[in-house]
Amino acid sequence: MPLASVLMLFILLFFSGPTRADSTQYFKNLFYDGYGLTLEERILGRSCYSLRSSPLGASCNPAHLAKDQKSQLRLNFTADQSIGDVTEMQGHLRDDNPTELIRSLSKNRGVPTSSSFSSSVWYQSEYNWLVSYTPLRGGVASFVRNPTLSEITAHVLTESELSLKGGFYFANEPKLQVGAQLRYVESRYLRHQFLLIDALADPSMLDTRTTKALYIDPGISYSFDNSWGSEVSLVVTNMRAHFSGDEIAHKPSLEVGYASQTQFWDKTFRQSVHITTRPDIYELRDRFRWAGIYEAFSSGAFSASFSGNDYALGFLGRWDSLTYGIGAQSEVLTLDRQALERNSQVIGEIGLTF
Amino acid sequence: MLIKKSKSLLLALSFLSFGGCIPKTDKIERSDYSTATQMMEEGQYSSAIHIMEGRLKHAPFDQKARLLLAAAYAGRAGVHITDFFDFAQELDKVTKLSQKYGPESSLGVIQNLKSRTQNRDQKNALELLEGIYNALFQLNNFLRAFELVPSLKNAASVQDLNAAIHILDGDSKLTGGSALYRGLLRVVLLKHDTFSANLFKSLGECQINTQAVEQDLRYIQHQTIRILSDLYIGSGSEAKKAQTQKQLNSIDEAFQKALDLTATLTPVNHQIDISQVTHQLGGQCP
Repeated sequence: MPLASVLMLFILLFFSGPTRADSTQYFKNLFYDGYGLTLEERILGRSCYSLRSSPLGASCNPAHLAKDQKSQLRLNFTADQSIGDVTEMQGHLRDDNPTELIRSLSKNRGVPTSSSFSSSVWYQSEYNWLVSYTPLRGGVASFVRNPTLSEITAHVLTESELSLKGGFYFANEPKLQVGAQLRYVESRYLRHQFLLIDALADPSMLDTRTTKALYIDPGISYSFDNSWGSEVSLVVTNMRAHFSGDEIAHKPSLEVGYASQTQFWDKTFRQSVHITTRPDIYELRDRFRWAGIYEAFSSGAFSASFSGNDYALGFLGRWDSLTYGIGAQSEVLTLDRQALERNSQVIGEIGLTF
Repeated sequence: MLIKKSKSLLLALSFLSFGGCIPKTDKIERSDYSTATQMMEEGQYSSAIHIMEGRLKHAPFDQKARLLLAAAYAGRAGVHITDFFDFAQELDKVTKLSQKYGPESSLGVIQNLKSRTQNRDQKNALELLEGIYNALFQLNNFLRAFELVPSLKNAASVQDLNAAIHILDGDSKLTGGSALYRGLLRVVLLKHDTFSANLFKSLGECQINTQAVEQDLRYIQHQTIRILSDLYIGSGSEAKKAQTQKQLNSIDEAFQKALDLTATLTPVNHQIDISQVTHQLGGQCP
């Protein structure tokens, strides 16, 4: 295939301008947040796809499972300090109660909000596959501007997910690992910008949608033969193989990263530089992310990442069968290409491992 | 081959730039709205008014500009839509309540007096009082929710609010949220006007001035009907529309009956003595 055509296809697929049909195109899109299964994945953000997880984590890139020989059964709950608000809103969304949802959304005047929680159970096999079930995951990103008239921009999400991923490598080319993840997701969400008075006049005007979709996320990773343990990873996320229900505006996202590792105070430190084509990001500097994992203890690891206007830091540890995590995340939300106030969250995780 | 490659590249670049292409007029409009909204967020309502007045002058049919301009005036008067959320919900509740409970219980004293009075003038006065109480009971549903409505601080605020309503009146096809917004602004004005009305003052004393009462009744009736009409136009659901229409008819009927009764009375100096009722209700006369 001629190079120009490949280039055109690449540009069309990942970089073409956002459609104008979606009035919230320049606001955070929760579909691309990638909650993951652990606090570590949340701290790493999209860099999770280029950085192998710590012993307590779960690799996001399915190709990384190819050489991951750990086995674990985990139950997990991850949330931040706004869990009360987000569970309230996702509850109203789930119960189809638009009036109460509007009331909850209109409370956060002039303060941008971004919050999420998830509960999950997963099993990772030493034979390079992982199956997980997230019965409930909720997220809210909202902002109310102009208290005189109250223009509300909101993305409220409640969903459940069943996923299976696995990875392998070729015997004659062990440096190359490939993998894929299948995700079945049932979502109910509201992604809408509206005036409070219009919603008061007719609460049913809220654009709530329900979707059931099957996604395929293929991944690849190539390890270089050097003292830095370098590797390059590439994953395509949100490739929709099938869906039913209401149409949603979303695009596949390409995640590319370069990772390396070193020993620091006799402990392993891994870091990566990552780039994402996530469509709700339009500043070039926000597309790049640096992330690192430092396995400070045999029973725990620190993780951190930063990109443009956001950064996160956390610790995931284990005590007997109990897993725990604490972290902090801070980001500047943007609306219509204008930066809003900084939104910071303290995140916690509690779980069991067998 | 070179030409084919150039064409492909050109096509790719066109698609790349296409999504970012916004017509110039759209950019100007969005800029005006964004700037005015920013001004309002910072409390610079006068600046927002200036921008939107300019916009409306060039585009008199721009509904968004009209709404923003009205909101800027309302903001300067200290009225914010988020203050209304609980009122709007309360109004919904009391609308349903008023259909369930009539005014009979609160009129027991007056009806009792009426049955014992032989004096024709006194009977007429009591009938007028009964009519007024009936009308006010209907209005009481609003009054109960009034504590949730913001109060206007001064004459300048009243002027700004009147300006906001007048701007919205400029669109004869106002519907949906904008009509609801106008109705809610009128509620603020009604609260302000009602509490300074003579009607309530005289009911607290022992005499009614029938001329003043008639004036106040007409004004409150007119304002309440306009508010309910806005709520009707602004309602999204047919069930809500039907409910609002029922209440509108009920209030209109009650006020009209009270007004008809004032027309039948011609007391001396337009004064009616209601000290008997005041005493029965536990009040005292000077």
